[in-house]
Amino acid sequence: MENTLLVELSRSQFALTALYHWLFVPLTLGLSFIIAIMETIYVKTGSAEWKKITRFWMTLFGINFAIGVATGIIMEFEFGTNWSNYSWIVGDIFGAPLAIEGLMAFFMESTFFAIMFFGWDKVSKKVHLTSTWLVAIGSNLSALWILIANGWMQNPVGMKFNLDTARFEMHNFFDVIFNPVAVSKFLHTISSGYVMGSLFVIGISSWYLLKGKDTLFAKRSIMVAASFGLLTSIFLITTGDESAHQVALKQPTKLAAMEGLYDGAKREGIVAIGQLNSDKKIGDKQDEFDWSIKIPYALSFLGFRDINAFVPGIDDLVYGNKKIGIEPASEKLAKGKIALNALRSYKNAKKANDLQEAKKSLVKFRAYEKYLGFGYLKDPKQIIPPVPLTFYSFHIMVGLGSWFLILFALSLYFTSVGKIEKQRLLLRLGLFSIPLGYLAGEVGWIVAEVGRQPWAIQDMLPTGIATSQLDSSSVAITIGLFTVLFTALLIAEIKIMLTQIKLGYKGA
Amino acid sequence: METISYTAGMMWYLSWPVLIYVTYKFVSMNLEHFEENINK
Repeated sequence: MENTLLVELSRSQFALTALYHWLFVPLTLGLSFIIAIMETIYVKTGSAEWKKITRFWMTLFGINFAIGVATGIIMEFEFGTNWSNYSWIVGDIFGAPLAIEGLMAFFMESTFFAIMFFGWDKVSKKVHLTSTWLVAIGSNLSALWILIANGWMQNPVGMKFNLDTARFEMHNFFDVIFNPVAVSKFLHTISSGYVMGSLFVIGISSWYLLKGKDTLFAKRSIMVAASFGLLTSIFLITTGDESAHQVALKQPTKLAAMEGLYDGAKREGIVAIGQLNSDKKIGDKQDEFDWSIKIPYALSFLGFRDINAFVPGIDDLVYGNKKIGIEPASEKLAKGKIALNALRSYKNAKKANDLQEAKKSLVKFRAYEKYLGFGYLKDPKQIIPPVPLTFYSFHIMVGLGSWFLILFALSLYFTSVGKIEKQRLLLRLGLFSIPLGYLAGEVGWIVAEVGRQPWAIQDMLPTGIATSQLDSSSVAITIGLFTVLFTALLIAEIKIMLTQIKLGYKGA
Repeated sequence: METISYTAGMMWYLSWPVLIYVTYKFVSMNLEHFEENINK
């Protein structure tokens, strides 16, 4: 029996931990490569100035890295404490990339982090530089394995359901690694980290320029970050497009929620900006938006690489669309229940040693296996994720991503022509864009995770079935404790960072 | 069961080191120009 309060509390706790963790990870991903590039310049030029610049940003990186690791470990434990059903059912697949992440990437980044941070003047320049690059590569490889695991949840491939153990088991490891959802998710996520790292460096350097302090250091830092940010934000948009294409193919309900699309159509446009009609319900005839500006044909083209393609809306996905060949969700629920019943019959037959009945049930189960998760749902409308949260999060992310590209281009141009100090408005915008970068990353994850509800594993395992059997009050207490702890850690981190920034790069 | 294209996946993954290399070159090129302007 599903305990709604427990499910919601477990989801809230995981969301809190994940969103908090994501305050640290993107900076680690991006700043590590920016530091590696800065140190390479130092080693190539031998300039003591570049050594100081590298050490300054490395100090801020170190503070951020330590707390990022701590919060990531909490998340891994939550799979066992709060999501034990999930861990039991898919642990054979999900556990493998996480184990590789620990053994390969995390050990690598942690080992070389020590040399990078404490090894100045203790090892040769080249060994130190190699360590810095390996920290950057290790951090990003860490993200690779975690995102392979997450990509599998969004598009489960390379596995088979074992009826005897009632668990999903890995069938093809390479399918899991090369899963197109995982690939695009990895590239999109790390490039968002590169953009965040660039925003961080530009924002803090802008503060120095606004204060008229350490100006040459600040301009050099902006030069590196704006160049890095400009190219990586173009890559971010490219991989975002591929990610959305994969969503269109594999998670049509998420795409419909991202666009607030209820009535699907051919040659569908994309909403550039708009306000959802808050009274709109699934299946009614009300308008989807109070107002909106659409770019014609863009959703069909970006989603399916064809301007004539039909993009299914929420109503099509819930009630079906015979013309297009979309099955009603109610049929999927019925077929899911057949799969669940076949699984039960198989287990009972096995217990009774009735091999003929077991074989019959197995054949039936395999015929309806792909609907398995739908069998746990009670209402066809449950297949639709929360539309307003997904829609607004997606549009905020896209809007901010576009702004960052403009910011990088302007910062690069004005630094190149030697006029960045005079651009006070741009410098202020640069500083203000640091929190916007964090916001963009957080809403991006909200699109990815809220947008795939009700599923923990797409079409296979609803979130409601994945939780541990805990007391709701226990989860509520840990949420409270985590909130206090996380807030304290965040305040401490910001204070340490600000002290370091005020000291300036000469104090690094 | 979905057929996974390993070639397409590999090409996408390879774009990661290519991106890092290209950005490094781009940063170096812009810095060279920047330092020249400072020295002038």
